[in-house]
Amino acid sequence: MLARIAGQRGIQRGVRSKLLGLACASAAPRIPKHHDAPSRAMATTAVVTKARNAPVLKVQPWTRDTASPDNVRKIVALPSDFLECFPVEELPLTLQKTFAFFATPSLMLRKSTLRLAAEISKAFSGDKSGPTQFVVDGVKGIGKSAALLQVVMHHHALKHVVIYIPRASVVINGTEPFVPRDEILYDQPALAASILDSIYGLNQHLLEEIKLSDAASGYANLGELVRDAATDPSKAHRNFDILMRELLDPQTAGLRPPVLIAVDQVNALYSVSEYHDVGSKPIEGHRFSIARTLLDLFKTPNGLPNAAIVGATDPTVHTAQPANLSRLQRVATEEMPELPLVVSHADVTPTTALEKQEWIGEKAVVFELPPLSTDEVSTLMEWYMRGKLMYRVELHRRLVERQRVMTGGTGQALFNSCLASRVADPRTIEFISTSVPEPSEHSVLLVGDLSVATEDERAEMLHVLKGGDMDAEQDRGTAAQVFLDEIPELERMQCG
Amino acid sequence: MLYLLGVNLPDTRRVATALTYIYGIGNSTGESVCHRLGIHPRARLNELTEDQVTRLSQLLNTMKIEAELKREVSNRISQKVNMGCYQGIRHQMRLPVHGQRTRNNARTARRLNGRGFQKREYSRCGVLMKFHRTILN
Repeated sequence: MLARIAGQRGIQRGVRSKLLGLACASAAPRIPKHHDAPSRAMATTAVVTKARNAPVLKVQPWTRDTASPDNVRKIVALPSDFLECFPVEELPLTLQKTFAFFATPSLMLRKSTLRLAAEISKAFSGDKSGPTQFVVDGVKGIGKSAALLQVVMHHHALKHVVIYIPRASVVINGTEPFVPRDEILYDQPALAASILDSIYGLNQHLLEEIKLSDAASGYANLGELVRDAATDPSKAHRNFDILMRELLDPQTAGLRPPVLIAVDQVNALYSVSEYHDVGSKPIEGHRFSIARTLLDLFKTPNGLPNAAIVGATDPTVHTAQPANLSRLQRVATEEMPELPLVVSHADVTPTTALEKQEWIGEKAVVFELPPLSTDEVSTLMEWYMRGKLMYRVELHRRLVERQRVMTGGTGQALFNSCLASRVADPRTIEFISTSVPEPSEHSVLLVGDLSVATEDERAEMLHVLKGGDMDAEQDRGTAAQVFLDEIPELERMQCG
Repeated sequence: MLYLLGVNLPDTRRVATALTYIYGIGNSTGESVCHRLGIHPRARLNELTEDQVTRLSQLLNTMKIEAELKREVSNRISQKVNMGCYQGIRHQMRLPVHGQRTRNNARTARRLNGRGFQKREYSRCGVLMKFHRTILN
């Protein structure tokens, strides 16, 4: 009832948000405290779906034919078999917040995601000179986790072996038991077992068809190996090493399906963890065997045979002190002793570490996601309207352009803006049906035709690929100018 | 509740936090104990294995905590009182020891200091006399 009142016309924005909050609080069940549970805000939003009677929208699930130019800017649902292996609670937190508001977890297919998938597919084509290591980078909220998830679903639908780690920060956040393997490395048996369990759930039939080349391991096929380790943490690390060795063996590359390893929050692996050694010194992330295995794959000089590894960065992961900082400090002391040793956190962001290429190989490619285009913002806002996230809003060109400019083209900011009903201001509603401009011809992407940078350009840009149009910046400038020209001067002053 | 070295520790707390319930262990010591035993920071006390609990109790046995620590503190105060130094006199007089003001406040010192050195005044008159002496000081 409170939610219905909040949806009525004439309710002020502050009052509406308070009414929605009361509706959530009254509908929220008592949630037991557990250190692995999501925060209170996340738990509250998870109940909002029920409290606000989210409509069940018909959305096509992801299939092997979804990744095509015909489906660009379409909303596609996560398939049910994928959700059985990775429930919404195990996905990245940024996606959980969006999925909590809809009955069916869905994502929009972007052109940049298609391009990323095409680049990765080249790695499976047998071209040994092409890149097999990819890093998806971009500003906060641009859609890195969403793009990675869609790539994972694409390759899972194509019956490839997919190893997906949705939250690499669990390696370093101090929630898993750890034991020292030797003087350098540490093991996390329970975490390794849970990762193997998810691998088995996602690739059960594929792994059972792959025979082991090493008969001494005592297992008939990879499926048996992974299943045994998933139930017995004492064997987890040993079997995980055998699994990676078998899947990435160059001699058997042609005898098995392609392998995709996708790691979200990859920058957490090279930061300092919450764990401490016996001497109370913090342990760096790369000293954990799981992280070491994955980082070694990123640094493999000759690439991966019939396989690819993709990592998405997450600027929200706390990187207190990257692994290379001590080396930087030592170099500063030896070469330039007059410089202060204090290095601010701003100097060692994930992007900075990527530019220094401390942890990725020479052939690795950094894929930067572009901001949302006007068409994509329009599609998302239309989706939010269908999902009853926004109330009594007429979608028109000026509104879409304004939202795109105000949010900077980031999906997360757009979602938060629509969620807070900042769009539903009766003073800005114009009942003029203006159509959103049609996409231009050059924005159509052919999957087979890749406008990849040349070797010289790549070397110059530090292996950076732009995922969007060449005139994306121009589009944003044009949109901003349109917005500034149309609003009165007084209102412009109020907007700041 | 985990009963360890005469102290009931809450099971649902994190290990480092639960150890602070022991007299003589604070946040820093609790964390360093976890580091030495290889217990991850987010571990709860009820998640520890028997082997870990055994090693924890063995490590705590080597530390000066609880009764042994209280005894040492009491001995140090007695030593100062017997010595007749300024701090000993302040303990005897149940006043602040470290130079705090006594014109007002100092209620904690008057309540807690020198409890082992003052005879109990069971009669009301005795309590009033003691109160007046304290005010004059």
